[in-house]
This record gives sequence, C-alpha cells and structure tokens, in this order.
Amino acid sequence: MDIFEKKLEELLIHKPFEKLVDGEKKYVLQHVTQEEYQKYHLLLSQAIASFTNGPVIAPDAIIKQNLKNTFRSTHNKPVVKFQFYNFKLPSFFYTPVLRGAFLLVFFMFIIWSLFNFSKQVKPINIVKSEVADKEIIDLNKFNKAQQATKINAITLPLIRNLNLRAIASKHKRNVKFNKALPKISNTKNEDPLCLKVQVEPVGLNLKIEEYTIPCLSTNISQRDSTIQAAR
Amino acid sequence: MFSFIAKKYKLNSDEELMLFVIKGNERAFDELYNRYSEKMVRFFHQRLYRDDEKAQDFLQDLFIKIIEKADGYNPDLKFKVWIYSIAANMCKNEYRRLDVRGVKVNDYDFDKILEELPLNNLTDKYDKDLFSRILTSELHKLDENHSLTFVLRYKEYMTVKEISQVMECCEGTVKSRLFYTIKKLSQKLAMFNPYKEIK
Repeated sequence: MDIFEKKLEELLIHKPFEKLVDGEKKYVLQHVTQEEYQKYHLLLSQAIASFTNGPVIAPDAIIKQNLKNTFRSTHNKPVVKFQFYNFKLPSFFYTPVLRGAFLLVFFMFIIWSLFNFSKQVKPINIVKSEVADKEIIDLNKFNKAQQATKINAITLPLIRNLNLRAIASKHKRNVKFNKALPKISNTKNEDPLCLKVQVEPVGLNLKIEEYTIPCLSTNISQRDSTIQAAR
Repeated sequence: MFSFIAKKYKLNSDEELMLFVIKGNERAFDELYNRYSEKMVRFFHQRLYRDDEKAQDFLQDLFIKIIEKADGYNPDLKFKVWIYSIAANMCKNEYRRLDVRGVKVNDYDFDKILEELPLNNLTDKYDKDLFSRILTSELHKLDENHSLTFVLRYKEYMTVKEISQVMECCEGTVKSRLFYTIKKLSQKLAMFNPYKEIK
C-alpha cells in the first residue's frame, strides 16, 4: 500500500487494533499487517497528543502593535484614528427634551424619505436597443442647407441635472456635431426638455440609430426622421 | 454604544475578513490576526527547530506579507490555505538560507539525548516531552515535503485537499507522503512502541 486511505487513517487515529470490530479488522488487514497497524496507530496517537499538548508559545504583544502601524501606513491612515463606536455624544444630548427632539426629527426624516422614495430620479441608463438598417445616403442629393439637419427632439420629463449632451454624444457616434454642442433647451410646451442636435452625415454610409431611453419608467423611442426626409 | 460593530467581524468568515482587509479595514485585520496568530506562531515554532525568537519574527513577517500582498489574495482560495502557503514558503526559504550558510540546527542535541537515555525504560514510561522533541527532530531529518505534509495533517488538521493546495501537488501525492512519513517515523520512534521490545 502506497497511498493512505481515508477510512484506514481514521481507524488508525481513533482505534487500537484490539478495539476494531471484525469488519474493520478485515478491512485493515487488507492494507497493513496487525503489527504495522499497531505501530502506526501508536505513532499517530502519540504524535497528535504531542502536537496538541506541545509547548505553549503565545505571540508577543508588541507584534500586534507593529502590525497595526504597518497596516495604517500601508493604507495611509493616521495613527490616531477616530473610533466611531467609542464616540460619546455630548452630555447635553442626554437631556430628555433634546433627545426626544432629535428622535422626532430623525423619524420625520425617515418618513419623508420613504414617501419621496418613489419620486426619486433613478440613474438614467441609456440602452441602445438595436441599430436599424444601414442606409446609404447620396451626398449629392443633399443640398448644403439641408446638411445641417435638425434631429427630432427627444421629449423627456423634466429632470434636473440630466446630462443630455453626454447622452447625445454617446449614442450618435456615426454623426458629427456641427457645433460643439447639442444644445439643451426647454420648449416649455408640455413638460419637456428638448434635445436639439445639429448633425451632418459622415461619409456615404450613415447609420440611423434607433434607441430607447428607459427613464422614469417611460420608454421613449426616437428615430431620426429628418435625415430620412432629406434622403 | 456601538460595540456591536466590534463584535460584527467575529461572525465573518476568514475569506470575508480578508476582503475587508483589502479595502483597508483595520478591525477585520485585527480579527484575522486574533484567529491565526497563535496557530501560526506555533507552526513556525515547530517548523523552525523550536526557536521562540525566530517564530515570533516569522509571525510578524507573515502578517506584514499579508498586509502588503493583500491585493494578491485570490478569494476563491481558502484564506487558511493561503496563509499556510505563505508560511510554508517562508520556512522553505529559511531552510535554504541555513543550508547555504551550512548551519546545522539542533538535531545534535536530540541525538545526544538519545545516546544518554536508558531507552528500555521508555517503553514503560511514556515521556511526552521527550517524544515531542524526538518527533520534531526526526521530522526535520525527513525530506521537507514529507515532514510539512505530516505537520499540516496532524498538527494543523488540514484536509488532504487543503494540503495539496498549500503544497501545490495532487491529493494522491499528499496521501502517499503521509503514508511514507508514518512508516518512517514509526520505525524511527519504535522505542516508544510498547508492542515492540527494544534490543
């Protein structure tokens, strides 16, 4: 036998040969002789006991401190660290009135947060659904006045701080902006912000993109119909 | 007031704590240190010829490596396996260093003890400390891979699979090394075997 079977190992660790039942003895004797079993059992039980009851050696306390310093310097932390869980509130806070007022404000804030949760603007995630067929535009058929084409307005609900310019840049890779902006303007009719972008075709192949803007649960599809018209 | 934060890390697994350590969480590091420092200092003590001072130095170096190489930790690997791999490599390097310098450590003393002792009496009286010393000595006389396998299995209670990961070999090799080591040690330590008469 060159390889240690798991079952044999368990028996060797836990049972002397005399305490093996018949089935176990039969199994054991298939692998080792009785004398070998006794030798190995004794060695293992003594070795494990020796390791368990071996010399007690504890780590030096200074090591922990050294390691803490190393950890802080590695992670660029100041040596004196603010410990939040040890933080004690100023004594006046323990006045019942102040404590009550604080709790009241806190709960009002929680309730306000809950009611306003559904109104909160979710992060805008623009997903380009698919690219429509490639359409070949014959530049000769464009007159120069028409090349500066206005893209249809994308009507969006009024959202503060929405970076429409980034949206336009990201999803109009195949068109070049005539000016350094898609200008954002509020049309004030309905409730929208409008995106107006002036574009011109780049080369003969102009992809007309169709994409969806999931925004506050409103899916808005837009297709550049002006360019189609020019064609 | 917020003492539950301090207690929180006790519930985390080693691997989760290590992920916190990577992010620079000192409390998680503390918890890992508390869990492993004692085991590792004993491991080094056993592997480095019972040299207390060296064991302490190696413990410190080990945890410094963990801090510095935290980014290299693979979360798919058990932390236990990772820390013992580093520790085993440190010992390996130390053996090489001693070997290069031609330093022979400690086993002279054990041989001398063996020569002077009335070994026949040992069959009746099991001297635990003596057994422990001779076992350590005999383990160091064995090939490093064999002795480390034996220690990881019966001292650190690692599974065969974990040992194979630490030693970067297959499980069959681990089993084979275990069997070989047990066979060898049982011959070397036959004087402690009451079943066998010492000649």
